[in-house]
Amino acid sequence: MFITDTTDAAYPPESHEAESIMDRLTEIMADYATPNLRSTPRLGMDDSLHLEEARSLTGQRRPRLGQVQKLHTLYQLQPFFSRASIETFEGVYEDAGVDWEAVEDGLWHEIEQ
Amino acid sequence: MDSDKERFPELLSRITAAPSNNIFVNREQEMLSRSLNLRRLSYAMLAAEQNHYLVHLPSIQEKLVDILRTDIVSSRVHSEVYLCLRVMMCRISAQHLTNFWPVILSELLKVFEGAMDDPPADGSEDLLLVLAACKFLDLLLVIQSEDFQMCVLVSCGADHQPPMDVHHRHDRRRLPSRVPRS
Repeated sequence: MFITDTTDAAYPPESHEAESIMDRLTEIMADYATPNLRSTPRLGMDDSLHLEEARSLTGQRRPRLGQVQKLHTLYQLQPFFSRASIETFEGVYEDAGVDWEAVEDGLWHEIEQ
Repeated sequence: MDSDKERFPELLSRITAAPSNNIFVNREQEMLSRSLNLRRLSYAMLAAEQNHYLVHLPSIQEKLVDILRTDIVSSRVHSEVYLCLRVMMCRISAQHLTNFWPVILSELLKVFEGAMDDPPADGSEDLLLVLAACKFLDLLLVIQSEDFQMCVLVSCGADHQPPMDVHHRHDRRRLPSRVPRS
């Protein structure tokens, strides 16, 4: 649904008319996730973002970046991108729904800063 | 906001993409003020009940899109727009947002593609915009409303597909090879 059926006619790279936006986003996510992004500096342990578990104990989907408020370098987002598409698919298969409490908590936390 | 019936439209009217005509206005102050007004908008919507501001939705959408499309606005202001969009996903029923997604997604793409072409400097506002965009994407992926998916298909000119039963969705997905099939 997000993603065009890849057995359809091949699209030339410069044609965007039929290309799914989510396809493009998925490609970008993969690019961001690769370790060699623009000669990535090695991140120290304390540079890691605190990512939430993608699912609650009951299997509901929740935002991974829910508790992240600061970012000091782009490369900290690599784990988010590399896990995003996998976890999205896994979450949908289970279809336990959304952990709205986690969503709301994250939003309130951020808005009240 | 007990008197929100009067205050909300007033707040909305202060949100605009157009730069001030007043040459004496300090641009940085102006961006700060815009950010603050957007934050107030987000707060008002989050604090209200579901669909409380539905009547204002067309105006809210127009303003947010206007801001996203205006280059002269700062990254900080754009970040506030993405926060506002996340609030809207939680406080406005999905069916009201269907026509909104294509334009928002194309703006979102620009942020990511721009950051790849020209990575934002550590500690910059541009970097915080990427974070704001990621958090928005994060929430989109969590919520995955069917309306959002259908509108992405339709907006991209794909052949019309009949609505899929949620539980059979996975059959039509292109899977990354690492995902184990159930």
